[in-house]
Amino acid sequence: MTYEGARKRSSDPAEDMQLVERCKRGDRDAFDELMRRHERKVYNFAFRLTGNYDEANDIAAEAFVRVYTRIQSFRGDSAFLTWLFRIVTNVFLDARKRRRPRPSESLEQLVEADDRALARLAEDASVSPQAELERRERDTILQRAIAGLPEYQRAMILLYHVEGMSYEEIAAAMDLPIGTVKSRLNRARLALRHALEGSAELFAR
Amino acid sequence: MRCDTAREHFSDYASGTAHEALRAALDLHLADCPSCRREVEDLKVLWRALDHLEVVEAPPGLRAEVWRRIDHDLQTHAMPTRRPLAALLSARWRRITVWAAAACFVVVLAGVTVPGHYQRALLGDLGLRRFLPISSLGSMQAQVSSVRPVVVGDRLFDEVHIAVQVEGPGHRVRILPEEGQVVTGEEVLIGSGAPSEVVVRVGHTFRPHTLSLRVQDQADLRHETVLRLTIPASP
Repeated sequence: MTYEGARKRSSDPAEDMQLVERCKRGDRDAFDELMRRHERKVYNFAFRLTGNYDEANDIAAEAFVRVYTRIQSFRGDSAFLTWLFRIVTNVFLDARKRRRPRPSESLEQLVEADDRALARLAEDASVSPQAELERRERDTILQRAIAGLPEYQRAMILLYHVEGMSYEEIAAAMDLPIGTVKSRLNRARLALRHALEGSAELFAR
Repeated sequence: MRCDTAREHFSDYASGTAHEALRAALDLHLADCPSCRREVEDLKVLWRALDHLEVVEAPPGLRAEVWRRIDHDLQTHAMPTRRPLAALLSARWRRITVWAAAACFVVVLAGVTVPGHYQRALLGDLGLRRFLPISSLGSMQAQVSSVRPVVVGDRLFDEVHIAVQVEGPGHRVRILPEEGQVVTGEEVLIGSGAPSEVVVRVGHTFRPHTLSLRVQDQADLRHETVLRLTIPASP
């Protein structure tokens, strides 16, 4: 499944708000339901930010704990999902301030993920192995290029292209003016394009 | 249009969100500039590749891990020092320490004054009475009226009853826990007039501590003040 497909299953903001109100009254089931609805998006975003499964797990868990402890302060000025991504971004940036990135581990994990995917692929006759191999190679190269971006640009690229957020939503999530979001996104895209120049042929297919 | 100016708008152009006049100007530039044309094509390819990144499934234990951390935080907040202290002191010395701590607390309460141009503290029946401006027109008073330990499920909490009185014509405030504090209790909306009671539960603690509550002026939601109350140790 691709992100394009995942984006179409976006949750209903009104239902999110109902769950938030129940959480504010101390309803643990409501918070569990909120997590169930958004855990995949949060984990994916954390994984694309870090390129590392363990770190993504830690950041996703910490972000949900932060949501739980601050839910009383959420007033619904933005969509819950926008607020949630803001918290994930902040947890990621805080974690990066505390420790240095682990690029070698990230690359090993990407290769490991590819191996697992190939094993699954061998059992799936509907997908051409060659096409799937190429797609996975593109994903790996793209993930490495994203990991090479400065952290703020990385978050913006993922929020816009992968999570499908608008400029306005990103501005709200990152507490920045829309003009700044647009100019930083533009710089990030040009930097990504530059990083992928050596793989142009693979991406043109 | 120069190449560097055109480049600033390539993202909007490639995504189809550039407005009509900008699009026309870029079309003109791209018709005469092969290198910019190639750059825009590359961006479109990049766009598609980002759209088609594979979704990584969240690990099955993620929610359980979140609950484990939340419950751990609640436990830690509930009894931060009791076990190490109890392990160090005999029963007799524990009793002496508790009484000495209680006596010190009463002495501190009797002598305390709160700095600041608007807050002052008076000794009430149990805790401090706080005066807090909630806007240029209104103010509120808050006082801890009782603290008692309660067990909910398998957890021990201190249930704190706070008497609150809002003063000022037509004023209403919303009281809710400050961020980061482990507090159960609903938001309370209080109008001016007779005193109201706010009940919150905080993790049980062996020592007197400070409870922070956020006070929102309902006439102006941007105006928010933090009310800090000293909570005596529960019996």
